[in-house]
Amino acid sequence: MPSVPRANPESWLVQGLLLADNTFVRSPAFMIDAPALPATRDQATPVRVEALDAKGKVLLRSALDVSVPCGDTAGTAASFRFVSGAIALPQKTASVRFLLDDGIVLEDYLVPKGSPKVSLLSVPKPNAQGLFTLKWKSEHPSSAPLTHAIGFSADDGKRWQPVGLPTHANWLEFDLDLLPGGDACRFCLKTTDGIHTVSATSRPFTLRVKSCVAMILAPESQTRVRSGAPLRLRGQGYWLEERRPEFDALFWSSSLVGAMGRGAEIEVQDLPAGKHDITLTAGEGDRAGRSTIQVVVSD
Amino acid sequence: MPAPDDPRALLESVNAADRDLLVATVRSVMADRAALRACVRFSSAVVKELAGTEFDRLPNDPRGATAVVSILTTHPAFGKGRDLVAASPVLGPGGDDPSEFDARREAAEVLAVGVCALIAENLLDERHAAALTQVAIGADAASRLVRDMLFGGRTRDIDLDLESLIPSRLIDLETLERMGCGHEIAGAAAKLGLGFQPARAWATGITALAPSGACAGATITIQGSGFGAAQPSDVVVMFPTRDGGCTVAQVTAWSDTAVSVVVPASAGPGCVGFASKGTPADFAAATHFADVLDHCIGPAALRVSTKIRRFAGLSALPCAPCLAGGANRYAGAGPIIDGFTANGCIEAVVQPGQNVVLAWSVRNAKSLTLSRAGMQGPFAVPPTPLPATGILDLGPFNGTQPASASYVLRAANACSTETRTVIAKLVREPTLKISSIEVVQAIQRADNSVRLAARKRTVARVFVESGITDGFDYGSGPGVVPGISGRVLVFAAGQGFGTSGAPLPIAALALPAGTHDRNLGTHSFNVELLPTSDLAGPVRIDALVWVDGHETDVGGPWKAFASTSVTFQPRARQEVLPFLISDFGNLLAAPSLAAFNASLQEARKRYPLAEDAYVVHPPITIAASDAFGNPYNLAGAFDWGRLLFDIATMVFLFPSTPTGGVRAGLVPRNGGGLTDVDGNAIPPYAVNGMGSPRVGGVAPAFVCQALLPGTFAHELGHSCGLNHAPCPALPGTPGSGDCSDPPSDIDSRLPGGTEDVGMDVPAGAVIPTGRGELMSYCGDLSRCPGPTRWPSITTWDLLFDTLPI
Repeated sequence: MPSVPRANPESWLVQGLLLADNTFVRSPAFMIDAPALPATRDQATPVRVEALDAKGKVLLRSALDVSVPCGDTAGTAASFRFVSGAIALPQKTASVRFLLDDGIVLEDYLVPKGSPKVSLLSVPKPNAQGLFTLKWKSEHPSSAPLTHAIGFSADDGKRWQPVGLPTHANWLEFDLDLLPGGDACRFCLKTTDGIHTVSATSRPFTLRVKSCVAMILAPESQTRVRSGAPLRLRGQGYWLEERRPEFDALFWSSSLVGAMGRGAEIEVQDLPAGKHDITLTAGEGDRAGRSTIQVVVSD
Repeated sequence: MPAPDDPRALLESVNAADRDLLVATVRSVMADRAALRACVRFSSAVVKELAGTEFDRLPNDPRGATAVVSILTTHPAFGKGRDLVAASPVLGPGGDDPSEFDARREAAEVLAVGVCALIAENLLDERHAAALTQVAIGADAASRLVRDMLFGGRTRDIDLDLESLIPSRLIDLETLERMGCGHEIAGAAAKLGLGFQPARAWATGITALAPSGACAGATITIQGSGFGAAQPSDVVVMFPTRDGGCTVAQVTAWSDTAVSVVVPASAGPGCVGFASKGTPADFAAATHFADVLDHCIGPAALRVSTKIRRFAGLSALPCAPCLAGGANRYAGAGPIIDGFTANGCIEAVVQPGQNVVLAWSVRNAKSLTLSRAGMQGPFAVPPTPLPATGILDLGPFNGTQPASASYVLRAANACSTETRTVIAKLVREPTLKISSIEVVQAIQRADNSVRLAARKRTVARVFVESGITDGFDYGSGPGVVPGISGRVLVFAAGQGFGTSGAPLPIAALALPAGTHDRNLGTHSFNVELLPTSDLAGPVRIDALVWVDGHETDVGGPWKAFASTSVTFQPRARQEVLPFLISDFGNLLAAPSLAAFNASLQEARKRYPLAEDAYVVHPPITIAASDAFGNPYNLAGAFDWGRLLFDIATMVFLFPSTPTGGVRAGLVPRNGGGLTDVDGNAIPPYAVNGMGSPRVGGVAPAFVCQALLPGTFAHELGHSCGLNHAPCPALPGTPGSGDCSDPPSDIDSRLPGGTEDVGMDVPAGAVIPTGRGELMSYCGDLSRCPGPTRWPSITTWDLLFDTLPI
């Protein structure tokens, strides 16, 4: 059985924006497979959480981190603060109260009754390529709004990576060519009603092993340079399956002059005038990957 | 008596018998140094390698030829007709010993020199050719000694340790006979001498020149007798030239008692006479001789054989001798200035206060004047009339700035006027000294105590003192010397060779001691050290600087050298996951990966990591929209916060995610002025960027606009746990959003501005002290716009200890 995110999560991930008028805009929260995080900094205006049981008895008090986001703006700073934390909610928690300065109630959140149910409807065909739409079915006994997040594993669940941002929809479209390949690929769907988080993991499927991803970091495609001016090329490769970068087996060529050099950064001069298709080949052999940009050299 | 089939024993015997002769020969040759020099001059002229389009002639040097023959004939093969005992391994197929190549070349050169000299002396016949061949190839000590003396000990000292002179490999006579090369060489050489008559010159019969002092273009008559009724076909009239040589003059009339010639344009004082071209060596014979050398000796003979082929058949015309009493002396033509110098030079360099002394020597002038061109430099009234040879001390050349004085010597006679100009340049000679070498990657103290990251682009700043204390001004200020160039070499530990750095295009100055301002790039000679593996661990950095134009000086006051040692510390890699985010609502496309890299480059140059330390993961392209698919409105800061949360959250949902490192989101640049497809204005984005340190449930993540210089690095700093630097500083009006509104979340560890001098290495620009701190709002397009923000030493150190995250 693959190691998928556990059904018995350890802490509740809470994030939100606290506006200047004390409005608390909370993001859909998930239970996560990680321990609770204590507040890390002294707060001038702390936000605290109280976990209450059905009779209103406080089961737990905990502080959340509050930070002022950097806006690096020419004008006024953002008029809100980040609130975040990971809390170990007691089992009997029926509601959560968010308090500002131990007095102002920002929100009383009622824990939905029941947990979501989800099931994945499809997996890609063997060695499928290109865009793929992953679909699932979800329901909640008390019709609580649900939020979903998709993870992907190419090693039978040993390691997971997110695919796309959280969504309320029951589908997500993404490009299979950008995912690592293998014969034990799986998707994991995590669904939350705001507190109860459930998972569904797909059966294994096969995706083709990918070429080294060739990335031309500089220059921009369609860059124009004058003849005789130096052109600095920077690139990098990345092996998706091995999860390692490629800095050495990088080969540069031009459609007009042929081979130009090797390495993560090279400088070429005296390119003849014309439209050059500059190609970076990353890796060698069958799994060499390529990326091409156009550079125009003018007289 | 050694056995005849033991060449080594035979050689030892012969050498022992020759010992006294050899000692006497060396003594007599060494006693006549002038003859030895003439011999060496002749030999060198024969064998010297042709350069470029040089078209020289074989030497026309009777004295040298005589000296060569004199040395050759000390060998018993010439004087006593002794036969060869054994040959050195200079003929036939080459051996494995590379030194044999030099021996073969020497044999070829001796043959060429000997043939030329014997031809010039009219002595080249079969007997001498055979003897010469024996000298060239012989393994006996006498042959070796003669070869040494011909070239004046060119490649080795003349050696009389006879036993050590015997080559390790020998060619015995039987083998030599089988090869046939000995006879072949001697035979080919002998043929060169057949029918050869060397060129010659004479003045016999001349009694006077009339007139003896005509100018160029005029006609003079050589008077005398015995010239013949008509000009012989192989005889020409030689006229002296101004350079001390001679040239052929055009004959206009010829009789037995008078020959009329036109004075050549290059005529100078000297002796007039006749010359015969002689009979040149036979071309075919010379070519055959060259072929034989190539065949028998091999590639080592190529240099001389090429020359022999090229000059076969050529012969030089000699100049006429001077008759006693001066009957054939020509004293006409224009004046000749043999020398005119200032302080011994055509272009003298004079220090302030140093005298300028002119010296001259003139011949054949009727009038002579000396003047100063212009008003610069000292001058003294010359004596009247000016003597043909003289020295004039003009006194000191004073000044505080560079100056140039020109002096003109004018000599005239009825034929022409000659002028010569010398220059005295006033300069103050500096005494360059390197006062310090700073090694900087982003910021550095004068003592190099800021840590350095391995394999990161680095600049060595070499601070140079001029040593000028009297205020002499080269135009860049008192005591300042412009035009400082140099070379910086990096020596990695245990590496015997250095890697050269690349000078930055900043015009560097040498300044008086104690006047350097580290904030100015021109106050140091700046060289970028490339981020190779050499920049790792302990490294020695050598700097050699000079004033332009003095790079070839061997030491001296216009050059200086210094060295320093620093350590480059290894750094781990930092992973970065790019999110390329399109503005879904305004249909603005996501920035490109190259745009991402351009932003990353702003961090790369400010952060203490190696150039290749950043592992860029394949980018994730997303639209700026919420979980319902509604576009975020980036014109408001609120949605920036939601977008940032979306990205930061991902890491916690899948904590075993392999795509680690910093989530770096990039949205399009929108500072205003954009319009949508209908031409409606798109509101500018609310913020340049937004980031938050890893606190609570917020992952190290940030989002910023593309194409902003400092914002990416600033927000990345937040991801590394830094808060804001206090600039603009209190007192201010918090919340006003103007330049007196300090940022919130001040990080008490950070200064508001840089504490010391920095360097933007890729830009090749010095960052002066006090630049707005990277984590502040002072600089770039932040709250207080200005020059780009830069890391302080404090930030550099914190990042050094934090990264990678």
